[in-house]
Amino acid sequence: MNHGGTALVLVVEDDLDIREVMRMVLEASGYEVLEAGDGAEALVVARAHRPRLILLDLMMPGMDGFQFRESQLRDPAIAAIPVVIVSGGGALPQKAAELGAAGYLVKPTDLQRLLAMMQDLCRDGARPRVG
Amino acid sequence: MRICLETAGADRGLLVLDEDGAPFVRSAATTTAVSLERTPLDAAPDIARVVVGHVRRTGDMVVLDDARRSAFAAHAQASPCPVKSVLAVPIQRPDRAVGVLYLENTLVVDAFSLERVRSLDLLSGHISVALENSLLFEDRRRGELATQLLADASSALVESLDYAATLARVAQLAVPVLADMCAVDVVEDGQLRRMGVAHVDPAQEALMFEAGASYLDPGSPHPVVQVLRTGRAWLESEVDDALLHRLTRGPREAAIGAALGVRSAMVVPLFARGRTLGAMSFVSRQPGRHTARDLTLAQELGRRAAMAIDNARLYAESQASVQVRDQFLSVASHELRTPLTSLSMTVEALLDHTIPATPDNLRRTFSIARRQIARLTHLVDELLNVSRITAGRLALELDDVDLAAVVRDVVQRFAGEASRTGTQVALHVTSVVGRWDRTALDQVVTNIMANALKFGAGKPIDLTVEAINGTASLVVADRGIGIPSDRIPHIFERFERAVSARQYGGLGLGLYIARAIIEAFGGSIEAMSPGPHEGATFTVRLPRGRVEGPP
Repeated sequence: MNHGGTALVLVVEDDLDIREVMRMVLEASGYEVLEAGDGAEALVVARAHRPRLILLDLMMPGMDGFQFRESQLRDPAIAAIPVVIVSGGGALPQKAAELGAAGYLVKPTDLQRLLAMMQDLCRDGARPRVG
Repeated sequence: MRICLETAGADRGLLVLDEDGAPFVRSAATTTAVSLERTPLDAAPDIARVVVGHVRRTGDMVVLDDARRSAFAAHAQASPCPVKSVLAVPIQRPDRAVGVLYLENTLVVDAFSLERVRSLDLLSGHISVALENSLLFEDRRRGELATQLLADASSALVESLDYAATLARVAQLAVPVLADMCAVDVVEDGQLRRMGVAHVDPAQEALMFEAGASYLDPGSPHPVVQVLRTGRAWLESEVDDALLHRLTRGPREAAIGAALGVRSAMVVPLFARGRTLGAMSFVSRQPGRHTARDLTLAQELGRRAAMAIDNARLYAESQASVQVRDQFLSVASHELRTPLTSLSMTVEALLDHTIPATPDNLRRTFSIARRQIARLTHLVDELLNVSRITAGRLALELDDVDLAAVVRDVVQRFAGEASRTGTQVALHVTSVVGRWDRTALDQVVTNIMANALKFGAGKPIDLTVEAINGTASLVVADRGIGIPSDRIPHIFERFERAVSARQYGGLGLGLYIARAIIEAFGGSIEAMSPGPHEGATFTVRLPRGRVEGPP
């Protein structure tokens, strides 16, 4: 798939296997992938690399997705990075709205919907940074 | 009474009436003052009890011309002021004696002339009719008050499921109708708690709460503790300092009782569905205030309060179990979705060529898929196990099994996960053979080990297997996030977790299953944690059963 450049994406997910599959799929689709196992790690990685998009799991040990989003919005340097919620929990539309997410995907995630949503979000506004 | 004194030419008079089968002095009069009271005859000062007793027994009038020279002289002499003349007139209804009018003259011998005695006899007839009427009226008034109290209490009790608030309200309703003060004590989590107090003088209520805190000791002789122990109501209408001292422990408690002016008291159990849930105390500052009739009313009040507590608790329990079930369903669905997510993504990605089917990609995706299948299988096994345990159908096939070998197998199986989380696992095992079910024992070790890895925060884990006094012992110690002390008693319960489900996944069934299996082997499991972030230690003890052949 062609994006006219490589968009940097941060996958925040505590499950190692899901992270590994996401990395394989996204890299094969032309994205550059960063990983974080919980909210605290995600904040560090996001501040250091300013990704184009964040895929955020909600239920995680340590700092969870909700707490991550709160901290993210308080930090002007990373507040504007769009977030897509990827979660298996219930009431996702409400949670996504509460958290001001750009979109949400229910687990198990439909691969084509994920890729379509990412393409949309990475096309909007500024061009993704070129790796 | 004044008319009686004048008619008789007496200078002191007492009206003794039978109430609840016992004689009480209800009125005392001198030429200058009349008082109304309710003192048991035995406790009343300066009255020739022998004379009154004689009149009550025989229904005859007694006239003592010169009390000092009569058969009742012993009493008269014991009296602080010398009584010269005594007149005791029975007050009778057609069917029974209702009391005695007792008159004295301390100045004059032969004070009660025949003429005066006659008119007094007539007067006693009038008194008895008036008394009967007032007793009937009093009875009805009391009945109405009792009905009103029970009705008000019942409506307060059904108003809300917050029984702490409603019990305090019921205590307030009982004052002053039934007592000068009322306190409600309820056993919660094995501890006696004073839920509500009421006092005719609200300024004293703080003291009542203090009184409640002092008899928490289960060995205390305090009536509340007695009632909780025996489940039987307690009534003492005459409380003196000596009794107060006997019923309390230590000078502070006795001082509180004295400060509150406890002179008459009753305590009833809060009894529902075969259990004493607490006690309700009714206390008054007037001796003789509480009667057997009051006790009946208090017991009825206690029954209603207990029913309200019981209902509120049942409701809270059912709410809690619905909440636990809902939380379990949401956790279970999350747990099932996680492996399904990576499984479905790998399959989809290969099918629609998002991932090119190179040999290396195939190897990676298939090994991910295989891991997800194992995880799903484990989840399903866990759920099946729980339903078997709940139904009491845990089938065990006993065999000679070496616990150390099982532990080594399990640790081997977790090697991948341990290295991914950077956890060092140290084994300190010696062979201990027992009669156990190999699969079930494997499950026990697996669940405890999975727990240690999950909450171990990547810090080292130590496993020790040894025989202690013929019993097999397995100790799994991690240095992870630990367990809050208030959660330790609950972590072996079904669907329980000591941490937020939002942060740590898992069905919350692992330790429950482990305990059920261990108990089926006749063993025990214990958890210990010095505090948050100081790790947790699980100790399993298993009897070895009858071992065939040398270990």
